[in-house]
Amino acid sequence: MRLGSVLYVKRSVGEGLPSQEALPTELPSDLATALISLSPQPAALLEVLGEPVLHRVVEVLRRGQVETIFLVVDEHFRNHQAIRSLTAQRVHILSGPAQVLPSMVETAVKRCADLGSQNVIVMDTSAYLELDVNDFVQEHHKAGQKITVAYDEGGPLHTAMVNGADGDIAATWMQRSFIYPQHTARYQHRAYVNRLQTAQDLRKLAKDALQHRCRIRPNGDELQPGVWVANTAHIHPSARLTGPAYLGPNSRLRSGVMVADCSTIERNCIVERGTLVNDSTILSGTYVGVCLDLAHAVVHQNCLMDVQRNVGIEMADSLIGATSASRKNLVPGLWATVASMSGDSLRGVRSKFRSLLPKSDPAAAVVPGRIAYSPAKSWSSLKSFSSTDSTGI
Amino acid sequence: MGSLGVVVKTLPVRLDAADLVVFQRDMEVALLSDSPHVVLDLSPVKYLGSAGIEFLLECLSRIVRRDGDMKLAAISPESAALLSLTRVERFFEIFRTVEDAVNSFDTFAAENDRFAEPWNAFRAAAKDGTVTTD
Repeated sequence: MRLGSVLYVKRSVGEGLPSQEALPTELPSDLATALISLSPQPAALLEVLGEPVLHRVVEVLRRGQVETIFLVVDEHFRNHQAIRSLTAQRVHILSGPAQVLPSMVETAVKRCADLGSQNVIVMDTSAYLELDVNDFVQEHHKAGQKITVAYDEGGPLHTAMVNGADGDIAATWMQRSFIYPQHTARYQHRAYVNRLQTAQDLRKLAKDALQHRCRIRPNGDELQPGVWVANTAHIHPSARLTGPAYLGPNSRLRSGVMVADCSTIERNCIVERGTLVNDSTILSGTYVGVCLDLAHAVVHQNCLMDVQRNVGIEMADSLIGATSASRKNLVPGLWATVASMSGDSLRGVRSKFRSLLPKSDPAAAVVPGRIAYSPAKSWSSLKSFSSTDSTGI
Repeated sequence: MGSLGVVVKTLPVRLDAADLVVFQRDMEVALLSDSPHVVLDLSPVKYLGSAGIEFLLECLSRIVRRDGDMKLAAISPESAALLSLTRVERFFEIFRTVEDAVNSFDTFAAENDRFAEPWNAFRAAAKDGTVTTD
């Protein structure tokens, strides 16, 4: 049996759909770390371990023997690299204004049928799910309904299967996601799913991929067990990656950078000297400044989301930003202040600082300008590391 | 003003370069006194940029040089995230409320079990009357 699929990428959750009833009910209750705040582009276009989520979805469908794939996309994103590169993977692209996406989905379903697909999977790419395509097809045939909608314990998954001749049913379902037409069956999805609504979801997806809890594989070479590095990445000899971790294409780790605890650094990023990256995701095109301690966070250009504190911050200075932005002075005045406070002329201040710290804290002895680690030490002791560069700080 | 002459200052909503100019003038009086005890209330602060962090460090530096102390209170999660990111939170004593910060000036830091000797020795001496606290 030949299968087709129609994927759609819309601008953001709830937009582009004509009916108010179409607004999904799974918006996170706290929007502080919603992914739409982190990046204006849809979650499907964000990269995870070197490939956009959208490409990962196409991979899942190809593994399930789906032959014909159409992508319906808001014209705003038509020229995005992640979309354009799909034509090489024999994906047919249809784009148009957000208001006509449902009718474009109907057209795409009919074109799948014209190309021989008897059943068509219609999928909103805002979530990542590893669909068991064969099982889905069997359940759809067993139910014998015009449309079968996938669910898991969290609710509907914006994924449905229709017969090739029922493109209008698919368009209706897409427009009124939570008011289903008659003749709808349910399919219980049991495999991996990540709804990708918040920064926590994105962080979980990256960790699950590195820890082999889903089928996403990093795009790069495994230099050590659990440490994946793209071959165009650059790592300073004094930088360290402790697995599991990922470093993407064209990204640079400057001197003394430490990366650990399932951290991922996507393509075209720069992490400046002395920075610690712990349990964090740095998305494409992000610059992370000197001697920072990035922990439990997702960063995209000038936006930082702390997933533990559940807050989002938009940075207005050069601590974190886009790699494309020019920086005349890579060392903010902040570090000049910290450095001057550690000089001999301020012994009283330094002793005051030390007295505030418990003796067991290795950071009590740290001042900028001296390296304090050796490769043999564990991550916890390496946290006392500071930049090797004595210039510029 | 709290006990023991503790000065409580409430920071503005944004701690960037422009907004700090006015606040800096306000702080000058406290910074020039002898042994200043200052609590900065950060509850209104929505944005703490690197200029704001630099300002906090500079205030702390000047106050400590005058044999005083400065503590932070009521920090928002956003400000806490930024202080953690820039690794400067270790330089400050941070309290959940202004009242806790003010009251901390009345007692030795050894009330907090995190702190090791010699604060425990001072605490023990104060209890048995060997050392007076004023």
